[in-house]
Amino acid sequence: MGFINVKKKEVQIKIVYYGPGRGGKTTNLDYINKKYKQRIKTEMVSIKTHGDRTLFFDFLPVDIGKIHGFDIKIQLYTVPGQVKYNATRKLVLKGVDGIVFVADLQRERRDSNIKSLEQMKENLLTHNKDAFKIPLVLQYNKIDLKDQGIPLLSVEEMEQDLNSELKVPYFVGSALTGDSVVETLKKIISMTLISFRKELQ
Amino acid sequence: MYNVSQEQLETIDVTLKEDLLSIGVHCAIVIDVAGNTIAQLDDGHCTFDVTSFAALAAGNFAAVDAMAKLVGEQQFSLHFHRGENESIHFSKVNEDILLICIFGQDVSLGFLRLKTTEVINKIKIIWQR
Amino acid sequence: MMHGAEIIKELKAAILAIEWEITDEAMDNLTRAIESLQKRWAGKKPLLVCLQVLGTLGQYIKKSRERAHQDAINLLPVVFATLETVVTDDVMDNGRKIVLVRETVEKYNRLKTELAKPRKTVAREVFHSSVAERVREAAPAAPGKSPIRDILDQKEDQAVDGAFNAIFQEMVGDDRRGAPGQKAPAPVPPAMPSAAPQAGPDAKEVVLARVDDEEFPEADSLLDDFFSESGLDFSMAEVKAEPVMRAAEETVEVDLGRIEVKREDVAERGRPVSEVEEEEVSLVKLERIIHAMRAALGKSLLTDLAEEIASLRSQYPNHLSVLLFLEFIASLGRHLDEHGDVARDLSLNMLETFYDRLSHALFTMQPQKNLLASHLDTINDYVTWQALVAGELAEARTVAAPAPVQEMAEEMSAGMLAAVRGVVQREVAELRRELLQLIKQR
Repeated sequence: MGFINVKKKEVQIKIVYYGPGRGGKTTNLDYINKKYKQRIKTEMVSIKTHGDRTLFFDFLPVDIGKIHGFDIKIQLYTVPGQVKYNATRKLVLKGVDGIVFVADLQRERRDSNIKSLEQMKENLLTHNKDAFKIPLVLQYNKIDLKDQGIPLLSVEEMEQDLNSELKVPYFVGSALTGDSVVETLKKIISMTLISFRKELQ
Repeated sequence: MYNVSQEQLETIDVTLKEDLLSIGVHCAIVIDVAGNTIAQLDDGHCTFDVTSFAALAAGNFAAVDAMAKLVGEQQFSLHFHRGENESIHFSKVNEDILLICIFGQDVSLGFLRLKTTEVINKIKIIWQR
Repeated sequence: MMHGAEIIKELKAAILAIEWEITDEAMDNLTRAIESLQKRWAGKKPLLVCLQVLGTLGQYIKKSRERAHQDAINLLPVVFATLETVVTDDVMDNGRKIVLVRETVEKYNRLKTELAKPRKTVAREVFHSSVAERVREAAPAAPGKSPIRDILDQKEDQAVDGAFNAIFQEMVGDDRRGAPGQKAPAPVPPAMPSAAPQAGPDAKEVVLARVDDEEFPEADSLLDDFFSESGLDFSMAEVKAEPVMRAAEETVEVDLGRIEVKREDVAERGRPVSEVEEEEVSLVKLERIIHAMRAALGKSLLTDLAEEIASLRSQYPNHLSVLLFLEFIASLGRHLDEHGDVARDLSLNMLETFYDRLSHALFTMQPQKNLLASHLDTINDYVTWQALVAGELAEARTVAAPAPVQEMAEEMSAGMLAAVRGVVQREVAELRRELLQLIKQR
């Protein structure tokens, strides 16, 4: 549910980073926050456990500028990745406009990726949203682990597991090093804005 | 995705000002359940980050709502946090919108609740137009 | 004997409940609690005054609901706090307590004045110019004129404030309500346009659909600009160097169990406690003397009494009501001084009654009419007392020597009658003025 404030001439867009636990969702936001903190100007809000795991969500508002006179305010959220927090994940998905699914390239995380994506589709349905229709981008994260000899899934395998039906844009990268983090975000914002475009003209 | 007219927003602003700020509420915010700020009015002394506040408030409201369902309640009608200087009162306008009031000790909760009920009725009507 | 805190427990619960939620039930509980205390405290004026204020405020709030004046709701716990102090504070002396009650009654009187003023409706017009549009569409208003709605609303406000006064008058049993055209219309709840069942043309909710084969060049260039590397004071090494702690300094971390609020200005907003005016209580000494007389009547006390009365007279040279009561008290004092054995208990009782009426006159919230009644009662009581004392004295004199009965009668007619006349004249004038004002208002 994007929100257009005609009075203030602003558009608020909610983008949610979704994916299995310890997949790098919060790290994506941390990277953006750190790198663009001079431009972002606002603060990142994290609700986490003592073990530094996301408990509820991370939240980073980013004002990217104007299109057709409208201020575009992007609100980035992450969901808690741990399996037990599905109720919370559902809550965060409420009113989502675009999703980045952050998958883990580690071979041992293969099942987690698939299960998480399936659950996301179900959760979206509870909000009357369809994973096949909502703006969505996949990010295959942790490519940096390749150098450390940790067994990773190939891009083909990832595509087969996660994107064979969805057929959405994907990026291979590393949230830790920032590889593809910005590209992923630009892509999802761009896709979301395209679907908003009619409202802005 | 939805869209609110300038007139609607102005009318909401007037309502917040007339019914809530006038009785000493420090800050009144109307947000949607996704955490977007629809309207925000304060007495000029509120310096906190309203965007983050709205996101947390929406999350909090959603969490409490989910808790209500778990114990078999449709919803908890009163969401209220009392602080030493500032208190927060949440109320649901409709399925999409929440009204949040931040107020000090000089405002009686009982009276605020009467006032928010009135404001909610007004906002509902504004929203439906 | 029950402790003060125990006695007002029910009232306290009622007040706290109202602070939490204002419902008819909560307001009725308040009324019940007040009624039971009114019986218990019969004759205790300062306590009854507080109860009366609470009762009036309560009925006003119940009647006006969300249209009530904020100050009326805020005054409720203040009045209760005063009452609680008076009832439960064993350390505070009575004089201080009376000052407290008077200050509270003064606040209440200010509120009444405030409510008598018409409320400003600047913001309201803006609201109704848009929201009540449909009402006006349905019932066409005079074109180009100020909307009927606004006038109606103004009337409603006045009705609520009028209701306040009406309740007040009912409470104090005032019969001035007979003034022409004066009635207290029940406040009409704010009439809102009826809700439209469907969303209007402006509100839309659309489920976003993914568009795979479209470009949005404006969006892309905006994104390129925002996320461009140029001008960023940033290196990859920085991010890698602090993988765990990064961003900690910049983020508001709402961690489980530790919530950091960065704002320091919160504390500043705490409003300063309004300063309590230090006012000299001139009745304290008088009260003490009169109470002491009850315990042990002595020459020195009677001298003290005479001195204190003289001092009070000079402090309130223009307060006719006070002067009148002092006159009677002085007379009783002189009698006790000269013929302390004649009608002693009756005189002492009379002294206390007169003192109570005097202290009540000083901080009363009663309308003038009731004050006048109090004065007339006092005069009547005094005359009765005097006749009785004169009879007893005459009896005694037939046994002993001739006594100054004549003297006493003269005493009454000289200073007292002047005071009585002054009070009555002033009060009649005051009543007339109020009546004229009421007629003018309607």
